[in-house]
Amino acid sequence: MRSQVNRLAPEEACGLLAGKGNRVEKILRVPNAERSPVRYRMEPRAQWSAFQRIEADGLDLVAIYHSHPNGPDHLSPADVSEIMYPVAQIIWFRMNGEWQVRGFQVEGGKTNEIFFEFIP
Amino acid sequence: MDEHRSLPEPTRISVLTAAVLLAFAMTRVLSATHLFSLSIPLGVLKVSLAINLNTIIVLLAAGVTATGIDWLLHTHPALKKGATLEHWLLPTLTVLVIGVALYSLPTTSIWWLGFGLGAVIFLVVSLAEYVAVDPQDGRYPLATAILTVIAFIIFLILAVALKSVHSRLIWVVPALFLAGVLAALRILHLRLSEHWEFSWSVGIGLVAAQLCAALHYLPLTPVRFGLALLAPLYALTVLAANLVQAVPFRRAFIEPAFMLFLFWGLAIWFK
Repeated sequence: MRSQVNRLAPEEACGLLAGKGNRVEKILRVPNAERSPVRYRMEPRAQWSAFQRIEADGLDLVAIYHSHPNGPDHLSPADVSEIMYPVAQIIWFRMNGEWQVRGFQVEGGKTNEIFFEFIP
Repeated sequence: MDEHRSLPEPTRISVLTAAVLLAFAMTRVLSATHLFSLSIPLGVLKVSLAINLNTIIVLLAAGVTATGIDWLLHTHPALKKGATLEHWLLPTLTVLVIGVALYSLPTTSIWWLGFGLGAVIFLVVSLAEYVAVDPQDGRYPLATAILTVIAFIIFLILAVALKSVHSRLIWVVPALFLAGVLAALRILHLRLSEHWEFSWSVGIGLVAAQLCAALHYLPLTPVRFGLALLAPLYALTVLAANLVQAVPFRRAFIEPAFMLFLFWGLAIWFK
């Protein structure tokens, strides 16, 4: 994910995280159809193929990620209003030139930060 | 007895219903022993279908239904020679769909409710098909209405059941395409004085399948998913019947358009 968001900056990058339960097992990169530094919209065909891949591997959608190359370090109001899938939202953002990541769960219009760890 | 008010032989319909119900019940009693898997590579996707004893039982029950309905109808005094195909399409589809729906339910009181409801639907569809053999029968319009409603209900049950068990798109699309084609084919055959409308039926099935593929990955509840797919099936079937019957263009569109938006409205409203 880090290499993808870094490579595509200053445009926003996005993708899906698939796994079982709360454990992510697969990263599926999806092109940003907007190719914008402030917005993202997954390219529909690639998103559809990614969902088919998840289904074929017997996994579930666990989270959706995208980057904010120019901040903020949290979900923007547009992000919150456009959430369609009730899964965790992962935000990559830059702080002092370094990529950082935070996770959020939106339930009933309320955004809560979630914590996770990378298991090599 | 009025020659246009015949009923099926009680023995035959009892035997047929009992055989189908026994098959449904056996899927609960026998363990779903895995027999073999069909694995088909499709490009980057690997499609595999696990066949177990219950799958075989449901398929056999559908086969028994097709032959059983044919056997049942042969006692009908108004039956033309060899003309029973249209009468066993819907009962066979009914058994397949109820079998799939019951298979996906856990053994709780809801399963028993589904079992009872399935028995009633099967009995009603069998009786209605028997009555529908004779267009001169005074109960023919009622039988036609019942068969039409059941065809739509069966499609809805299948869509809801497949979404509930998170079936893969690769199975959901062909299953709903086939169910849509068969439902539309039977309804149009009834509405159009026993005239087969294959092109309209396949077109309606394709629309249902296309919409199914588009909605499959959206986080919709099973009921919303089912209603969203039932809407075009209903609207296009009624529209096809109206257009084939040369109903004036504007009038032909009013009911289908109204029902399309009613079902979609229900799908949006229904949680």
